[in-house]
Amino acid sequence: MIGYRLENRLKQARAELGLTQTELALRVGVSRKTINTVENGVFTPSTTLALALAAAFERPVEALFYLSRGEG
Amino acid sequence: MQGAAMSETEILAVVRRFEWRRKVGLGMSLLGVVVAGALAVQFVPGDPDHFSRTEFLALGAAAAAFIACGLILMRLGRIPADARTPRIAMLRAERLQGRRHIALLLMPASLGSMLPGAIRAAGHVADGRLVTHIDLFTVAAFTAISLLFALMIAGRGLDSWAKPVLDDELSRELRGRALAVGYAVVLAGVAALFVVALVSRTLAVELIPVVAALGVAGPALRLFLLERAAGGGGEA
Repeated sequence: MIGYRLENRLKQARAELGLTQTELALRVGVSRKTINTVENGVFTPSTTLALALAAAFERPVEALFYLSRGEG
Repeated sequence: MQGAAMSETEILAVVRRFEWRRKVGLGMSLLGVVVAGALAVQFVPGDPDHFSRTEFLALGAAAAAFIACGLILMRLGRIPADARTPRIAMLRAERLQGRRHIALLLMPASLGSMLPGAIRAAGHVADGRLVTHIDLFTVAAFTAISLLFALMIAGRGLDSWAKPVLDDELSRELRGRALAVGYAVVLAGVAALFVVALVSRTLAVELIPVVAALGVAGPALRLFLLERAAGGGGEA
């Protein structure tokens, strides 16, 4: 969508639970690289992965991902 | 016999030995297949030069021995049960990913080294000259290796334990972008060949292997660059 950029609070959420990227990756069933690129905003996850991440943190997906005005 | 539980380092050492054995076995089997392929093209009529009966039997025996030994080596040993945990699988897959990066870099070099032979064979066909057994073998090997590389880039044939790392959402996205480069290269290449054929049919046929090689080498390099860019930073 033009004008929006997907941001995330994945790193903070992970830090709160004391999880490493590898541990989170194992919980969700993806690679550590995928977690890293999602955290850094390099890769936009699919709805499925976003929901899986939210489920791993037992939070609503909006608590992890949000839109901001940007180059999107 | 299953002893006391192994540490992660011990498990990975056992797995490394198993993988090394499999790799040697695969190499030997492939060598056997190459020799068998060289023998198989002898049956294609045309070229009057053939291996002698003694050469044929010796090479046949060597091919069978290489394939048999390779298969036995690949079947020897088993991955310990402890190595089937998701964490070990991820560590193994990440190591495999490093080796795949090297393979991606070697693909263009490998195809480039085979290209002169493939161009020469294509030239023989285009000129209506006698196609030798060496030409047939070169074309068959070039085609098989190009297809094998394309399948590797597309992520086919991955072991199930490696899929969470090598066939996850990010990997599929990156592979899709890399393969799009190959599609564009091949499409542009075929269009260019069509134009070249209007001027010189021989040259157009000679350039077919070049287009095929670029169609594989382009995505390989693109995937390497994308994977490298995606892999920067992070924490274990």
